[in-house]
Amino acid sequence: MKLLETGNHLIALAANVAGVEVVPAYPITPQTQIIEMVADLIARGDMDAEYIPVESEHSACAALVSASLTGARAFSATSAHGLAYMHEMLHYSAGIRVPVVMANVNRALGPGWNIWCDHQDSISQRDTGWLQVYVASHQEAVDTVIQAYRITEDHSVLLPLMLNLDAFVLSHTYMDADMPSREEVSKYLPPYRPLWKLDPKKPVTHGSVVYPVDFSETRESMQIGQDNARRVAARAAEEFREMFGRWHGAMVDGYLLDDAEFLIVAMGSLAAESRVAVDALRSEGKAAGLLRVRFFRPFPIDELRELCAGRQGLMVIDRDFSYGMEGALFTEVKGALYGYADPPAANLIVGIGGRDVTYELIADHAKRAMAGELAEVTWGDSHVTRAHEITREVLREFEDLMD
Amino acid sequence: MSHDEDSVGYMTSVSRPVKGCAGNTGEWRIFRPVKDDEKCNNCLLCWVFCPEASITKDTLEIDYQYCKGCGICEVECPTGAIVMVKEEKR
Amino acid sequence: MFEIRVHGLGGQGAVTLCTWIAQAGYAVDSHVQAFPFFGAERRGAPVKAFVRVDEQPIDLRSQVYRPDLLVVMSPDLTGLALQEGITPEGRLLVNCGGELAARFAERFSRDIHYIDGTGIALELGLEFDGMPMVNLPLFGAVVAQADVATLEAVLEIVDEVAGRRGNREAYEKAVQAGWDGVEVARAPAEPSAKPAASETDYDLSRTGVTPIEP
Repeated sequence: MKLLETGNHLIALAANVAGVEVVPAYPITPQTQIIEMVADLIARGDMDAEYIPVESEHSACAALVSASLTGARAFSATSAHGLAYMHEMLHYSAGIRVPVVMANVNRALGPGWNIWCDHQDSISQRDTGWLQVYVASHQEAVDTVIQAYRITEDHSVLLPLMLNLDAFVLSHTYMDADMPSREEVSKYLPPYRPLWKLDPKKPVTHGSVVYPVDFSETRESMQIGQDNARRVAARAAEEFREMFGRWHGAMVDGYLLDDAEFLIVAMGSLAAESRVAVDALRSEGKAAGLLRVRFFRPFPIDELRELCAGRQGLMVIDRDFSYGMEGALFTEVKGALYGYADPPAANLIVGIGGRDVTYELIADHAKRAMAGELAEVTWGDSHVTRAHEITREVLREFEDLMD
Repeated sequence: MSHDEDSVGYMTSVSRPVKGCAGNTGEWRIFRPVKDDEKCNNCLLCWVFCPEASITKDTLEIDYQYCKGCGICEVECPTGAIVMVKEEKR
Repeated sequence: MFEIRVHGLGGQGAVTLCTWIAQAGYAVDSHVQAFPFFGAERRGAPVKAFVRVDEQPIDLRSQVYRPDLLVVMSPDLTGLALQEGITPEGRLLVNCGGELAARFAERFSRDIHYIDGTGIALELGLEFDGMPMVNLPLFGAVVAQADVATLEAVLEIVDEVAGRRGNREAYEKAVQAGWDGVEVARAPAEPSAKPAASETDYDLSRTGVTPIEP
């Protein structure tokens, strides 16, 4: 069924057609619409699920883990400070191997207080063991919720998946999308069949002490799950295309890659905007292409090695920053290519804290990168503002006081 | 990036409840609890508090193979029916 | 692709207007996108909202800096709205009467399309929380000017909203009046002296978009 809805509402509706049975969640801007919609669907009798209001995101994730361990298909949603507050339970949920799915609406972390989009929140959770997908459109958000359970619940994966969508740009924007029915989805996504579950008929303890003699294997096992997810995600995307006729890429998505001499590498909604930038560059006779990193974890190592080899240059766009280093995606891309491909690469930091990023800005920086004029790390939309002047005035006022 | 069949695969921290999973903890004992059935009023507090589940509920017998001699039952017993006595062999 | 930017004041229904426009485009099988700039959502504060309508799926995610149709719901915002950009051949639609439109045409040296949406709403007794529902006549006016949907599609959307509030006849009249009622104040043949710049410090230079002189 075609719908015109916000990205948030589409996520909630997709969770419903995916047969989600338990939703523990705590509201936070800009995620609130998701769980409002879930609560509304349940109240109207349109969703057969249990909604658990909790007192914090830490508890939301704890309930998410517990629900999944009983054999239920569980879903949650959060953003920014909520995700940060979950941090301990993110490690826990990956370590205990629950195949849950959670939407994270990408929002900046304060202070200064900021409800708008950047990727700092989820990038900061990189090493928790969660699979991470970044979507670029409403349709991809819908389809990825459905694909996500196919991936996480595969017995060779069994790791939680974080679906990241950009705050406001995707979460609150109305766009049209196709929502498959519950019946159609059930043909693609069978009911969750756990390997085992918490059951009074067969009591086991889960998450108890593991001595050094066994611990390393539990962690290597997580990496095996991540590695298996590459194959499982590719198959999930392929079978989704066969059944529903839609394709958003597997580990990566590409645009005009075949003859591109220069690649823009980006994630999320900036990658959609970058497609338009590629068109603009092409119209000026510049052979640009786009490589959209869809899965950030597991990281598309093989795809990057194959697709970046032989190019004349890369510009990696980061909507995040690893302080003391550079944009996180930039580091990852270079790490994957080390010893395999060595195109000149520059890092563009833009869109931090919801700064609007136009395709013109991206194309302009890409041209500078092609000409070898872009610094290795460039804060592309940063400039002296009125806020700087106020800060300087305040500092001057303090000068006397501090003597 | 592939892992063969002999690799670790799926592994998680599950444990099963089994009798004596920590070995014969009875060997740790320096003091043994001795129960006086005359004083016992069957209140079950010793059964509730025994951390090693070494007291059977229906007969209130002490399983000396696993009783580690911690003395909690002596402290909890309201009638003084359980007294800790030094093990002869130690 | 047809791009629309709406400037209004908090409470005038600019965000709802953009959602309706998108619904109308969607009803005639176009791909659509509607979103506001989310800021301090205060009554009376300036609000911006955007619509894109296209035959193809839409990849742009940025705000609209060069609209084909620039809509101003409160005439005080006209200078600011122009300063934030419009395509050279873009159309400016202001919610105001003919006299003010003529003055704007002279001041900004351009054609001003106008409709007195406030007058239409008040005449039909359409108020919401004490504010005239200017977005109803403007809905008809914008869709007619943008040519992104049919009158039937517009009326169907309004009927659904009216159905929830039980004032269907007045709603339909307001939309119809907007659809039919847009007039034009022509720019003077001789351009006037350089128009006064709007009193804002909005800086387009870092968005990659070159500002167009109003």
